[in-house]
Amino acid sequence: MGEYRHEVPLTVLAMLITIAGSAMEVFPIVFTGWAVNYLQAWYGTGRLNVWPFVILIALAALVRNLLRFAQSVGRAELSVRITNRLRHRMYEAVQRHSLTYHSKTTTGDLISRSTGDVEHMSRFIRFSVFGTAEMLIVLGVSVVTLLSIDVSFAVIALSPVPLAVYLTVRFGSRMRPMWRGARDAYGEVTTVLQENIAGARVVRAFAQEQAESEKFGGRTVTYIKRVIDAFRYWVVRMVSTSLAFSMVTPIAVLYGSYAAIRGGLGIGDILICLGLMRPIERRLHHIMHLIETYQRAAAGGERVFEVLDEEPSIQSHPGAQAMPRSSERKGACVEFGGVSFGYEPDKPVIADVSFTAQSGQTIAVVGHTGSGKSTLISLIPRFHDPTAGVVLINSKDARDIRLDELRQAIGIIFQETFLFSASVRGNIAYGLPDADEDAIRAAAQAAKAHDFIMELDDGYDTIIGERGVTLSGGQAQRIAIARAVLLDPDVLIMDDATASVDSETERHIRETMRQVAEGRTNFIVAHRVSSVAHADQILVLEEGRIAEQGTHTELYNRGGIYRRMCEQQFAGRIDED
Amino acid sequence: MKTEQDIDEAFARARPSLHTLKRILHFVRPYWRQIIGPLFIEMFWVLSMAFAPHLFKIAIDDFILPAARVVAGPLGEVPGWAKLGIGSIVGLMLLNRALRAILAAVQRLMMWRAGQLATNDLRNWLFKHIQRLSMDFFDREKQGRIIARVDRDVENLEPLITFVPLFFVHTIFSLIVVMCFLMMYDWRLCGLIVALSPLVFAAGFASEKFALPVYRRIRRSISRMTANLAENVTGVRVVQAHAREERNLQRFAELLDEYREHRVAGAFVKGLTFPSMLLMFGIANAAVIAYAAYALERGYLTIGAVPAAVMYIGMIYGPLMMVAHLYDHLLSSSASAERVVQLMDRVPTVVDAPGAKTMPPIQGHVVFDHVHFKYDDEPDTPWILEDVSFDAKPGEIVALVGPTGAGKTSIVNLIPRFYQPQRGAITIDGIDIREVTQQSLHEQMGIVLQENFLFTGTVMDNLKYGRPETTDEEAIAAAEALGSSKTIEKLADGYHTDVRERGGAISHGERQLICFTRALIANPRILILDEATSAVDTNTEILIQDALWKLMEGRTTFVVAHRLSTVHHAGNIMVVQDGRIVESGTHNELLLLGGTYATMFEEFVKQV
Repeated sequence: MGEYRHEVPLTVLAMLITIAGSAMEVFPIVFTGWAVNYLQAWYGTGRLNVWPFVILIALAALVRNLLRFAQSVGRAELSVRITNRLRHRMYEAVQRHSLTYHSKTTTGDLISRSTGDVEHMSRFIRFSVFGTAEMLIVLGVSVVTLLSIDVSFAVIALSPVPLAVYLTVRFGSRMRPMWRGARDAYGEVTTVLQENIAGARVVRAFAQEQAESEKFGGRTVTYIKRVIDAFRYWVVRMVSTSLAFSMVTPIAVLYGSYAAIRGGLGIGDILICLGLMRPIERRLHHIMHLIETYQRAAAGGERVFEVLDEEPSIQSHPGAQAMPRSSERKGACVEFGGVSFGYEPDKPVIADVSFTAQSGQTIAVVGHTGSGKSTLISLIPRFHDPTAGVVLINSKDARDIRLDELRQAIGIIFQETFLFSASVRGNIAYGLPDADEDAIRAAAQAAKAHDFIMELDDGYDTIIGERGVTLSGGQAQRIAIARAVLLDPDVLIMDDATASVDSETERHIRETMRQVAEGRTNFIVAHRVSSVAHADQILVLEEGRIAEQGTHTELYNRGGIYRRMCEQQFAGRIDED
Repeated sequence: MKTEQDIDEAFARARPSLHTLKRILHFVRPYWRQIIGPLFIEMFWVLSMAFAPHLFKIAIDDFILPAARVVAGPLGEVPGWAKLGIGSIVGLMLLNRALRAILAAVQRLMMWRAGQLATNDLRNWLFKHIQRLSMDFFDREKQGRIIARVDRDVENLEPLITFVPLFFVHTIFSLIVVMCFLMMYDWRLCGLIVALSPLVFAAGFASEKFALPVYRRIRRSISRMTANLAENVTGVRVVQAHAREERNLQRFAELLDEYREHRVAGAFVKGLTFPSMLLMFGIANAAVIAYAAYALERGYLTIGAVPAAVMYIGMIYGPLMMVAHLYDHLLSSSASAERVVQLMDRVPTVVDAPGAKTMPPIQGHVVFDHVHFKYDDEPDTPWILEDVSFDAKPGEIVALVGPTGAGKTSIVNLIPRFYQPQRGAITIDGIDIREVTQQSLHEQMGIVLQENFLFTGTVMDNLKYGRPETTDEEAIAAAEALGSSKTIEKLADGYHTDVRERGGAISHGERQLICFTRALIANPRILILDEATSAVDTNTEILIQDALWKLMEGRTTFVVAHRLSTVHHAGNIMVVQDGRIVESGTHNELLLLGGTYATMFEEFVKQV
């Protein structure tokens, strides 16, 4: 809550305005009542002078509404400030959460939590915090006014309160899970939506438009059912309280009439009582509405705080140190000591892996699909933390190095290229936003991307679509390479990055990579022997373990798995001739 | 970025059109009974509400004041006729209130339910519509924007269907009824109230000019935040790899700030509207008192009519303020409505021809006849594909090779009609694909893409994706035939492993194997492998080679590949360069030709 401290002055100001404004609400009613009393008492006795009353009523209305205006703007400002901070924190949390966390959540769900649920909380702040103050003041002033007229009026006006409170408490606890259920169902709806937009081509390729629409329809039906159930429940509660309140006005009229006949009260007094019934009733209903918004907000809040409260499993610890650099600037020494990792505790993906990559070496990781290659290298930039063992960078535990420095020292070219909706320049400079034009062009040239970029409509200013759709796979890949090269990283990781480009491009890229590999430690994940033969060390992974380790010649001569891979791939080529 | 913003700006200036209203009303029509019903209840409700002040007036003029004259002092006995009169009036009041409480509940429930159902229909319709839209739509629109329209904008339409008509009826009807009662008391009083009402309307409608653009800016702001968020969630890996969190957060903070500005501007406009109307209410109240003094002296009014008139003013000014409230809803909803309708009006660029037939079972004879294609229709942009012609025989394996960006993927994208070529024709078994329904065409095609997309659900659900009626046994048999069963069984829960969206637990290669099996189960007549094997390692590739052969047998297959090792079996290899087919023939023919393919092959051999 500490970070909300500087909102205190605004909160106090908004609160004072609310209190003053609410107190003003009864004045026009009271002045009107006095005027009627005056008319009743004096009519038929000569000239009536009602002007003091007229001026009072108009003045009270004016002041009240000026305060109202100030109140509306102040509250909006405050609630947006608070929820924006919440959105900001949410965004921060989403970005900081480890990939292990992201692999367990869906985009749609995270988005609905950060937008819709935060919005519900915002409404809650607007209505509840100030609503409560307004409610208390209006109730208090109204009751005091009634008491000053006649004690019985106050008693009658407040008589349904115990019943209303009882109903609210009784129905209240059941509302919350109902709204939460509805929000969750809506999250499911958003997930289908999101997925269908991201996977539009696959849906079409399999002619599943119909089935997807039915799936979406099914989810919306669940949502609608839940939300209607919740609403029905809410309406039943509303009608029972309204019935309780419907007794009040007639009883007040009955009591007031008898008192007026006996001369104890004026007609204006009855009018004041009836006039105040409305604000009182409205505020009491407001309590119930508050509980309802509270329930929605609490349901939304739970979902928001689930994301916020989940401590990012990977972060810099307070004593984290700077990235250790090797003196001769020849990359970094990466060492795995007995490293194991699994997404689920009993299913290790990586088991007891140890190896040392000296500065400037090129390490190739090969193995079957699913043998854990990509997972292994994702431990270097700490996308995941090992469940056992340690990853050392220049002899320092990766967990003791400041996370941002560690990741800036590592360049990664992913298997699946993800480009942002921004210019080509913006994408290349993604990791180094302040890079100058020359550096960006040099990186693009190194990645052999410069030529095709110049052919694009706006060159480096061309906006690349959301998923880089307007570029071919190879072009996108080369921009991703330029993006990594620009960082001038100590460690360069290529996760099978040349798999999706043609042989010629691959050859160019491999040459380029050899050039840019100079002075860095390189990791190459590949399935093709041709891409790894030149490596200083080849790690052959099998079911998460290192099955073989050595240079191309050593492994080939050993006659194991690697030899078999070579032979199979070689056979494939011989076949072509 | 610039153009997008321009569109947004133009959008914010536009007024809600009749067309927008018509399109939205279309979805409300099926529920008209559920909406008309509550509207009638509302009228009845207003009528009974308007009786209450009149009952009070009768009590004052006919019972309280006459009785007060005969009763002396606080302990005097109230005469029987007054007791009876006041008693029956109070009884009527009780009945009236209870009835109104019940009616209000019934009516709200009906109305709200109708609103939810209608917006839900709209949401479903939009979803189906999006499914119909062609691929170019997804190439251009940001995901976040599309989602915001189906999600938030649709939700925002509900008040338009429920509150708006209800308030409208309430306001108009209360005005009529109240005017009737006031007319009955004193036509001058009625005239006074009528004379003051335009002020209220003026206050409300004056803000329209400012309110509409502000609400649009708020929505646009929200839409931008969502898009930004969606992108950063989807690309979270890249974000983290580049340690860009701080910077992205700064950008998001800018968006948040922009949102705050618009939001507060909205509150400003709103804050001006309501209080100014309430002020009018206060002034009307004062005016009635001023007039009452004058009217009582002249005997135009009775004493009882004064409090009744004060109550009636509350009754019409309340709804009149609701008109402003309604207008507020209307404004924010209409901005949403326009966005939704804009999406609704998006015409798929590829549509079934009128009277399109169902594609008969495909033999697999695919012919491209002088096909020209580009992704946009601008006259001065260069062709992506230029004069592409070829003839693929049934059951033939056609390989498309060539450098990155040559147009290989564009060619195969045209076969299932994902896009429409500007010139030339594509026929399958002699039938122009424009003459058949896309549904029947897609049903007979299998496509495995490089970006392997799996849906949330289990691996089994994904395998059955193209043919949901498949049994588990059939799916497993297919996986065994393809050689993917071992890999799938090794997953955390085998066939029942939950596939999360960006599932870290299933590797790229594993996903690709699942996609292969999915294609096999769909049993297509024409198979398109777009870089499909590039992410599967060579060993796995060899493992599934035989199965792939089986899969390709009897189907016309198009293989897009960069890597020559995957294409040498092809009966026909086409070399694509700069959007043209420059060479075609078998592997040996092309080698003998000594052209581009031969050069590529030399490059390839060098790597061994």
